[in-house]
Amino acid sequence: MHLPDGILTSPALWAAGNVAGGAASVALVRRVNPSARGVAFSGTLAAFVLAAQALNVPLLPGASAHVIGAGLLTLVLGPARAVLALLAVVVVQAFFFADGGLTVLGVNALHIAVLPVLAVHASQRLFGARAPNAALVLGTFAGNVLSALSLATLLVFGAHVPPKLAFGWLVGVQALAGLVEGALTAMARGNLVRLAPGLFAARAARAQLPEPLDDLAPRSAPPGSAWVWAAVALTIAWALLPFASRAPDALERVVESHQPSQ
Amino acid sequence: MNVADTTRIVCALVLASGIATAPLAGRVELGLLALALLVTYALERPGSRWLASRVGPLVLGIVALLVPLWLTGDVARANRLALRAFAAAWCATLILSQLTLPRLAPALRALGVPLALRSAIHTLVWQLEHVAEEGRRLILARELRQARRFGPEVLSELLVRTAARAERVDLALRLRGVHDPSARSRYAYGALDVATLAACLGLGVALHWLGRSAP
Repeated sequence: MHLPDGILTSPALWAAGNVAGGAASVALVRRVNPSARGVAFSGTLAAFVLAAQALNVPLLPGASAHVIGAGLLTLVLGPARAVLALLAVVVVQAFFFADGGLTVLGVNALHIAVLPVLAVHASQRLFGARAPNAALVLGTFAGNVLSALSLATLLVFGAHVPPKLAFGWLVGVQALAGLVEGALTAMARGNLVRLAPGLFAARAARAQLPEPLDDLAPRSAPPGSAWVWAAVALTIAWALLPFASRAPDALERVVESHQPSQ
Repeated sequence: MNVADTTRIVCALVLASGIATAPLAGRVELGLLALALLVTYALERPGSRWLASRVGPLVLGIVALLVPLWLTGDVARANRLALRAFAAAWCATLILSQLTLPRLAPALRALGVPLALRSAIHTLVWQLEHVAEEGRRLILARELRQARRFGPEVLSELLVRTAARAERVDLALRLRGVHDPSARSRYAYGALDVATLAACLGLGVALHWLGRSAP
């Protein structure tokens, strides 16, 4: 699913790039704190996904596919971090492994990072509580199909590939790949739940890990608390006003003492 | 070619964009493109093994993508797309061939890429090495215990172990005051950087101009 440079026309590149850029911006904004400790775990998972995406498995005669890894990443990291981790994977692949082009980074990000993650997240929100494995398989399958549909549309309009071929071939292969990847992800989830149950339960994970020592992110305050503190500060300031000194402060004194005219 | 990493990245982006969107209709353009391919090869001179490992999969990928067009008989357009894709990837790959994995995040920092994405890339690169190392250790331990060498449970265990190690190392870095490991490098730009960038930009513009003015 990694598209090389030179296949799509400029309008298609711009359109897909803008959509992917918008989604990446949302992920960047929504991500709480870039210096938080979860970065190490995101990087580990992204490294696994990079290694997994390097393995192309033959599916049909003349067609092979690789896993995307959006299911596991979304499940463990949440959608915003998963998009960023997959974006990092796509960037490293384009820069170092000639896997996907530089000008189509937006297109590849859309089809590998954004759409699969959104599909898995939607599936998790809808069915995750009742049947997590089924939600994972369904989300991964839907993500693959959605990406294939989008890519086929781009190929039809941006490279004039015949629709029958683009949709039939691409969507067919990716649907099959999505089913296989969904099953593999559900298996991996089972193994990880057994080995490290804290990974999948946010509360358990928080209980196991201490708070970051240098968490620089602003803590979310309850709505209205800023106004309360502002009112308290104004009251204190008003109460102390009669005791204020009329003498200049240190900086003003220094400035005054260095004025040549005086 | 001794230019800064940031220059390499910008040049690769500019040249790949120029080639990837050029019409490539006339002989002059094709000649210019061939010249660009030769010049990038002559300037970077990558090893044959490295070149085969990058270009081989690239050619296979392009061919796989364009087989439907060849099959439907649209051979001329498929050939043009294949040439454009190959040339853009060739130039970008060769220009970036001197850029090593650990130097990517600092270069992206200098180019203004947001911290969140940069740190994700930096950690990914750093973890690639650790995953391989932990994997070797795990397999060796299993061999010594005469257990099965490889299986799905090994992958899960590898992930958990590597993640735990990454957390430990990351915490140690933070305790030492390292908040942004990619903030180490400073780049000095010289005349060669400017000339390389100007050449890439000129080539991209020339390809487009020739393509548009062709009859």
